[in-house]
Amino acid sequence: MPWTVTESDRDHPSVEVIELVRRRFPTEREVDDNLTRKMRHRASPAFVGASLEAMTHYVTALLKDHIEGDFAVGEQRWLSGGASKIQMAFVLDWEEPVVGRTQTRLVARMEPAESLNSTSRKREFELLRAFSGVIPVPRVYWVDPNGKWFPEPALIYALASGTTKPRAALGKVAGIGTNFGAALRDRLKPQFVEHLASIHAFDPGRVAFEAFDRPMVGTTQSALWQLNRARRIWEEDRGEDLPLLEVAANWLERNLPPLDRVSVVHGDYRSGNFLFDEASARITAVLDWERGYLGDRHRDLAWTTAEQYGHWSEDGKTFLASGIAPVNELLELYEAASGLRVDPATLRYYRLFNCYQIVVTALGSSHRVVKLSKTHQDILIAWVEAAGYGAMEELRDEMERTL
Amino acid sequence: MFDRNEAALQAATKALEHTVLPAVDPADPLAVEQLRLVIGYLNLLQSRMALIPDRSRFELAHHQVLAEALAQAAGIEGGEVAERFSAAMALAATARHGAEIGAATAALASAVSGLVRAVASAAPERRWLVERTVAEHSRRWIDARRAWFAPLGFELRPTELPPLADAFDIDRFSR
Repeated sequence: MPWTVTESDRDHPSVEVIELVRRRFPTEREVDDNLTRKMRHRASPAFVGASLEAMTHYVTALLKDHIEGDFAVGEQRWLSGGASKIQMAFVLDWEEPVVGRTQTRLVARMEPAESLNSTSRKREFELLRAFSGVIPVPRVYWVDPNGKWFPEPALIYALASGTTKPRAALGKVAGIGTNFGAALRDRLKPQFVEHLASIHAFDPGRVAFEAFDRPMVGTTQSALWQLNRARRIWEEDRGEDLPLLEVAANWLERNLPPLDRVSVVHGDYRSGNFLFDEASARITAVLDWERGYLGDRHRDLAWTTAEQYGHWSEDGKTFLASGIAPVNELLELYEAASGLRVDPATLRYYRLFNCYQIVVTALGSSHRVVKLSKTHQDILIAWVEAAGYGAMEELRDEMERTL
Repeated sequence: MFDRNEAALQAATKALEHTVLPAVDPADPLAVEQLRLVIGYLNLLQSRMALIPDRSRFELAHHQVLAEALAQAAGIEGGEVAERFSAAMALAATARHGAEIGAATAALASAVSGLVRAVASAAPERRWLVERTVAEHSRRWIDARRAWFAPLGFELRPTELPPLADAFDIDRFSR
């Protein structure tokens, strides 16, 4: 029942409440660990900001345990652009194995006290390792999965060159709705599609993927894990009850699609989450693997083509998914590049599931994080509420047509 | 009552935009980004401030209409669902001001959500009635929230949204 967990429980969850919600919505082990950690830390003090000095201290502590010989950390600066993690760029002067004395531009990426999405640095590390040499990704160096050297889980990887949006489009929040312009998007399109196809065609059996659970093909396990994850977060984070979201949850649970093939799912593949070189129009890095999991590729396809991440073309008549291509064209190119079929019914299910997920994040998690002052950029998170209502209307409209 | 809050908010955004922003180190992208977001949100508040009471009354009225449409279904469900429904409707009937309106709205939303969860395992006809009613009634509520936040720029179809004054017109519930 929605009143089992109270507003006070959400701010100060007891062990019993945390367990109650865990049992009600079973999901993948790593996701469970991250969400449980979030709730155990929920009542901890507000986040008052990280200093470059403190971040440098954490980085240095980790490096002392991982590299031999002397080293120096310099040129520290904050990076902006993301909606969830604290990111400090720096230069490491060190004796790199095989390479010798060198200076490497790196990024330390750490969770704030509580994030818009409580995700796994361990998963991000494993995925970046797995896709090195497959598609352009930043080279990953070290991970602190449980906050041994950093106060929160963190990752250190190479600073990739490139930008998330053309100079003319600066000012959009987290790359949502970025307009690349006609010429640039035509050049980015084939790479954007091929990289997604490569992710989904990748054989997950090639890698140990210790931080991942593998759902069973031919069952609805994968879809249920994802639905339970999102429902659990809604239970843990929301500040208001939304009857329509409960209607959607009922429908999603009644219509779970079976899995036809286990793919690596990026989880947030869209404009804003890849870097490109504006002059050559070459994609230089696919970023933000933190929501990745093993499951149904249609989840990514529905996310990439979601209304929230695209915009109308210059003539105002054609919707461009992720600002890259019309939805049908993008899916046709994807099928040709991956050799994998797009099932319209499964795609529709995940389109609705993604709307549900967006509402959970935009109206639930964003509220809790801002209310409890948990991040280094609460004002950005406050803006995210506005991104939830378009998804909610899409859900409502589909429910009205379907029911 | 003469109210200076709107003018004060305007003064705050002016100070941030014309005095503070030029003084912020452009090499600190986090500071520049967050200052622009603060200015944007204050501008939104300034443009919406006079409508906050209308919005509260609209939210309550919407949930009252929805709850009335579902009262019979809640009664059939019985138990705690029915009790919460009755209590929330009684609270709403006497809510007149600020915090009372907010509390009554939250109680109604919670009661309806509980009913929707309860019918998840009910017979299809009973479940359909509840879910369909919620979906049909939610359009105006979503439109109102979308219209409220439209200036933040996330809307793909802003021209389809009602003007704010219409969005919060509670007389439309009886038409």
